[in-house]
Amino acid sequence: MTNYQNLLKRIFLKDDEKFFHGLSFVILSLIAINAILYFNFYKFSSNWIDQESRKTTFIISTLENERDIPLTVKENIFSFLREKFHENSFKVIDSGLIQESLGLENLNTFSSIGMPLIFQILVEDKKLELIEDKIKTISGERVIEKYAHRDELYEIAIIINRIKFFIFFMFAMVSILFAFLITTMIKAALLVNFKFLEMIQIMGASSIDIAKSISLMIVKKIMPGSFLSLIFVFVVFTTSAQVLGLSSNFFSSSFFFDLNIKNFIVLVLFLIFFLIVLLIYLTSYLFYFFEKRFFDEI
Amino acid sequence: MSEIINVENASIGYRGGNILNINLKINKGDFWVISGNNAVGKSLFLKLLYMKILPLKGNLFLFGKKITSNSKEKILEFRRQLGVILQNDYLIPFFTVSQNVEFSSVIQKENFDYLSRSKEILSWLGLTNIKDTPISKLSNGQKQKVVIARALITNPKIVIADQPDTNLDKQSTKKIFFLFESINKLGTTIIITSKNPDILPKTYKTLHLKNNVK
Repeated sequence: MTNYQNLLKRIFLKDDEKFFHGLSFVILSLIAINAILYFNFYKFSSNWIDQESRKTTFIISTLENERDIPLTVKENIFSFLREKFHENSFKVIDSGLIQESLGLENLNTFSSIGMPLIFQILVEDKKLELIEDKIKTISGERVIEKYAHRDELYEIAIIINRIKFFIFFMFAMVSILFAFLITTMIKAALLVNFKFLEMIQIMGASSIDIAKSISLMIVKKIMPGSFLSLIFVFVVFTTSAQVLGLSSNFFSSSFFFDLNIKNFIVLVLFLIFFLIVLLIYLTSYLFYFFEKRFFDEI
Repeated sequence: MSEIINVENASIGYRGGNILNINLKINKGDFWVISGNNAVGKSLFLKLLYMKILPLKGNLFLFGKKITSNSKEKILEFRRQLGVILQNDYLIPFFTVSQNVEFSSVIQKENFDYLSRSKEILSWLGLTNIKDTPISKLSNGQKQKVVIARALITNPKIVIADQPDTNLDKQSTKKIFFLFESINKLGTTIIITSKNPDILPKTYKTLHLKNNVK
């Protein structure tokens, strides 16, 4: 088969080397960008939805004659939260922040509005009821409202799924168009060189050997452009991540390092997978082409 | 003598065109001359022999085994033992004479002393001094000689030649036919069609094709 390859390389699509490099660079860059976006968006959205859907917000209102939740109640609630949860699993919304966001900086001087205590906790469904009971006990007769974030995330999840579908659709479309373009070029080259190919069939070349040789040759022509597109997409994506302000503690302190390494590995694996799929597709197509012409139709 | 090909009550032809009915047994070491008028189906019959077509009706046996559309492995193995010379055969125009002759050995034989064999065959056909010339610069007669050299380079067990004397002058034709006779004496089976069958000895087996069924 190696001999076939050397022979075919000197005859089949021999003047199209640079064109293949350029074409594969442009199209594989598009495909790789879609793949890396899909992968990152998928990871990001899954993590985000998972994290957010486990959040529950509690709002404890003041009693009628109170302007603020008494310090002892607050302390009891905080010590309970500290006891039950890890530091990162609960967050108390500062009353100053609430006032500021509502434009009520001077609240105490003119209003009888009581300032509620608002906090978020990250908790599993099954534990929520126990925690709610305990907070009710600590809060006394104060009204407690509870909001599960999962309910509010439903619409967002639908939008995220649509974006994911759109990215995947674009990826699939570009991939199919690329395969179609390559197939058309190969078919044209096969027809131009048909006398030669028919002759080697008469000499005893098997369809699978010719198919493997030609498809390997095409993939080899595509490879330089593919590797260049891999580097290009990696550089563009990394730079964009920095320019668009994905900070280094987005998910964790090692996020940026993780992102780069993972993205590079994903890109390499993706390109290997893509080239293997292309090789299998081309071999099957060419095998079918030659098998169909093994005998002349009379 | 051992049987190579047996064409048994076979009908060949293009659908809607002339149909040829043939019975023929080809043994190892035979020298067959296929004759007939223009467009009678000589080339089509050769196609059947190198198994590029299968009979519409009847049977084709190769080494005693029936050949069907599922016998591709056997056919490929058989084709690798053939030297086929076709009318207006294809040569790679930007390859030199040697490169064109070489490439059949790439496909048909893996361990093969190409150099000594090519020296011999190119010298016999008078192609030695143009062995490095690209095909595009050769005359039609020279190209025909290259086609013949390419078919014979691998020492094929069977030679199927469709008018190998096309574009050749009388002297070259005699030389080629002498070459065929020589390799036939060494055991190679030869099946040819020719416009000059009278050059060949009458002792060879002849199959005359004629239109008989429409």
